[in-house]
Amino acid sequence: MQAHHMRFAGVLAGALLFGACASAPYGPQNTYSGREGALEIEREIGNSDLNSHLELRDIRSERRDGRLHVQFELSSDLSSAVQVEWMAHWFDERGFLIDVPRHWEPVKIGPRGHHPCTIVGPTPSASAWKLSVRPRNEVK
Amino acid sequence: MNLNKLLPLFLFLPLGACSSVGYGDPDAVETINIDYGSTDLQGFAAKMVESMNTAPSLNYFEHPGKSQDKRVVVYFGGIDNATSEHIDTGSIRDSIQTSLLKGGKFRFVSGKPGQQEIGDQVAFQQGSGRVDPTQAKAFGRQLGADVVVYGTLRSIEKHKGRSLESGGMKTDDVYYKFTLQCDSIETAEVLWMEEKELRKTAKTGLFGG
Repeated sequence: MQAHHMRFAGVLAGALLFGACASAPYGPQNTYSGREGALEIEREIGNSDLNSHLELRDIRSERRDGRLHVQFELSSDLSSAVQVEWMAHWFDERGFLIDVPRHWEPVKIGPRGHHPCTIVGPTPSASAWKLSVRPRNEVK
Repeated sequence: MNLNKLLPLFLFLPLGACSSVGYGDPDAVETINIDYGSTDLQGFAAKMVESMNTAPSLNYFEHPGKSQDKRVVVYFGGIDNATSEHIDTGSIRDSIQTSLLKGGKFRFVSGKPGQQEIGDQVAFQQGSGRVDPTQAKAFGRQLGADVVVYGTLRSIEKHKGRSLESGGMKTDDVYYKFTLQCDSIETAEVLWMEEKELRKTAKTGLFGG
């Protein structure tokens, strides 16, 4: 009987040991790309579940004082609040990345809610943008 | 020896078995605790940079002593920490200045540490006898700042202890407000001002830390 208990404890400890070292991978993200003057945006859907409930819509852009302003709305059809984060990368006319500090911006969208956002080109040469959206993935 | 006594030891062994060190994403959202963190810094800086870059009142600054380049020359002053936390507000200033400098809209003059370094170097070039006199730099040609940028970080903290009413839940709430402004040095007119607020709330259960 004791041996049986020991075997059970060993298996349980092994399973816990395996689980203790696992770390959550970064969730797949959806990416939306657009450029100045283009009517269409490109979508790269890495997270189809997120894509089916969260829509990027009403995208519009214009230049003000030499900088490209892009406005968009994140819209959720979920009946509960959803926490996501987004990050924008900017590129010049020839497609080179404009190297400026950037970060993931956390957003909480209410049930069937909308969240309007505006991003502004960090330099006058910024003419294309790539917006990544993913479920909240915090360092806890 | 009774092996049953060893059973709990086996079960708790995995809890202390694993430790890891790894490189993380410096841009990731961080919510380790309710205190001021990297995501707050990045959010504050991004908002201020975007606002300064798009402010029409800061598009140019006329002054008789200026050449063709009419960009605003900025002296970045201090950011006062009016919170109860120890926060290195210098890193907010550094992030904002780095982004603005890369954006190209503004010119910056050196701050206090830079002036100290410049002073030491000019003294060395002029007084050590080691530098070619035709290349030695002298004082008197620095840019004069048009504006000074400075700000304040404030917070309001609220805590609610565990109670029957809250189901044993403890609540900590902190509200931050970061204000930055830009004043003309010549006229003291406030040319631009922006504020960014954020709120962080932590709810901790009965057995939470």
